[in-house]
Amino acid sequence: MAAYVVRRLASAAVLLFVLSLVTYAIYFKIPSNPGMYIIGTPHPTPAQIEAANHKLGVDQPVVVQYLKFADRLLHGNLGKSYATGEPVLSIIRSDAPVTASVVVGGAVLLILASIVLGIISAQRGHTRLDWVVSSLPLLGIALHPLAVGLILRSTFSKHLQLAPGGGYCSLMGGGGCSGPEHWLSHLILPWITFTLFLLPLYVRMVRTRVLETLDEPHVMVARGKGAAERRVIGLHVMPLVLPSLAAMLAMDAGAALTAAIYIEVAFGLPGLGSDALFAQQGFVGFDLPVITGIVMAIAATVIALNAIADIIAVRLDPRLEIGRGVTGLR
Amino acid sequence: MSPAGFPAAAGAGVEEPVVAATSQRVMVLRRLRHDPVAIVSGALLLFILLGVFAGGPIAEHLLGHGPDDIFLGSVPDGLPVGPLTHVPNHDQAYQHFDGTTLFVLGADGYVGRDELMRLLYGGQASIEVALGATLVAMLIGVTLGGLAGYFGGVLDAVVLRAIDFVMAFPIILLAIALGSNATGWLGSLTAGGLLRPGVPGLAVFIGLATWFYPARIVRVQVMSLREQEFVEGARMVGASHRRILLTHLLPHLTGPLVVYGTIVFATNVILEASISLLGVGIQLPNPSWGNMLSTNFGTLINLGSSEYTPPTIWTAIFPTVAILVTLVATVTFGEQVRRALDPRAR
Repeated sequence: MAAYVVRRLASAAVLLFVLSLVTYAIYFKIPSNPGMYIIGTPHPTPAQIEAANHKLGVDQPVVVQYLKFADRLLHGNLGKSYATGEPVLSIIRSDAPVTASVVVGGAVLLILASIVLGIISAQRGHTRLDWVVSSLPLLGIALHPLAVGLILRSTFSKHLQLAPGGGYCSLMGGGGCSGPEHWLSHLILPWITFTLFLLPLYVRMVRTRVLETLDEPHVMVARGKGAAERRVIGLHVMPLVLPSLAAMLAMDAGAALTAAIYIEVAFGLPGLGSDALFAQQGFVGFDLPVITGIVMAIAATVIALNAIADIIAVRLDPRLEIGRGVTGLR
Repeated sequence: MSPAGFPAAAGAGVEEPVVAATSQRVMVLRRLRHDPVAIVSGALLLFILLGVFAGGPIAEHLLGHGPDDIFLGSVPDGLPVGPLTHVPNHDQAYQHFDGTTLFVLGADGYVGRDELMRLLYGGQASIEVALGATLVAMLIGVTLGGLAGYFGGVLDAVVLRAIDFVMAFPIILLAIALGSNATGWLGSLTAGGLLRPGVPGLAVFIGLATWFYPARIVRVQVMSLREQEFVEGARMVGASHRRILLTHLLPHLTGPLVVYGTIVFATNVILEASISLLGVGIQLPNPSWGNMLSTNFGTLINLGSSEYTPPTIWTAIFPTVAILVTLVATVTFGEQVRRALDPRAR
């Protein structure tokens, strides 16, 4: 077990290193003329370009540049926004809770919905209800989350007046609106949007796993001893289905955060996704430090989540150690 | 017909009953032919492809204007006209007005282009990107997944780490970051004029981001296949690794790959839309379903405002419905093919 944890953490560290290389390349190497990003005028003199390049440090050898970049990263310095001069780290620190609220809350709703629908679908196998439950969510993947978000927002907050019109209220303290009830009411529609985006695949997965598990000998024994259907599903089937669900969720963390970008925009939530979009659409052009900082933060989070999910899975089922944790098996 | 080497008539005058072996391919096709859902979704898919690739030029010929032609008369009072509107024709200098031309689905927004034409030509771009990206993803995924599953060891470990990395990377943000630098270069590629501008670059980019999905599937499949007797048999008679992989293992993978291909395709259509929506994929004025959605998106980005009204609901609905119908048809057809390949599977 200890050896596995070390190995898994080491591979996560390697991934983080590669991540820093890619980010560095986007930041300094791919722009043909990086100095232009910090010069205010559209037609600078050669001297201005040289000064800007010197300021960014891109006139030094590549290895030196990368080491400086990595050194700053290790000290938590992600640079400053070109647009506002605010440190990127403080932008991330203030807006990450919004994104986390959307993704974590959405994931909880997703798990609940996929378990309920998956079990219904499995128990009514090959009936019309099963068909409806497993086909309807198709609309979820076939519609862009931005479109779903806009439809929900205009239906429920504009026309039916059942939900607030968008924006974010923090869970605890600060700002004009805050507290659990405001937080919840502002996030329900984003959560539903999030759930619809991933639901179809999850319902199908739960359905298949439940049907598979129902054929296992231990379920037959439980049935033979006269266990009620509810008890069979709850006690003998679900414990075997849940780990696959958790593993799938860890793997989809990247896709989930991508969806979160569009959901934040659709509902006007000031999270990391909207930050990245504004950085792209700002008046000064692309705000590269903000974009790469957010890429770093999100990718690092996903890598960490996957490592944790693998370690927990191996802890629960030591047989997996021989392979490489659940993330490799789907 | 009697098996070779056996005399045709063992018993005088009695014909042997002929039982032709049915190949897997024939059985799958037969099952698909008897499956109404497969027929409907397949026909719909064919209709979309024909409509977009043949219908685009035909409609351009019939209506007399293209996807990039601007008609000032189509945005009276600053709002685009609705479906089935006749819009005044004019020349380049906006001096001479001559009759009207029909905008079947209305105008596309403030600029004043025909929504229908942009939908058809945008569909070409979106489908080309998604198909190309799927090909790239399948090529990389099958190669890496197959080699990793077959050889195992260090190669397997490296491929798995690569999969982890691609999975962890927020592709949309990467597109934004790259788009800020490489848009001009990506947007100008056309693969020798064969594809619409921006398509090859974007297709490769999306393919590089979605190959992990087929790779994982192929790896697991190959891992279980390589332990089977027929592979052992092939190895025993001295077949090379190359021969085992290509002639013994690959045929077992084609069925599942077609099915997973449809899912990757669906994902890629959404990704194209997501990236072009942000203005870093297919560049205006070239249409794509993604940047058509952005007509709405442009007015959207006023954060925190609860009073949001789209300029006209049509410009959002048409590309959304086009994507929806295409994806539902593709995924449904793939699912029916999966069932036809393995009728017992649930």
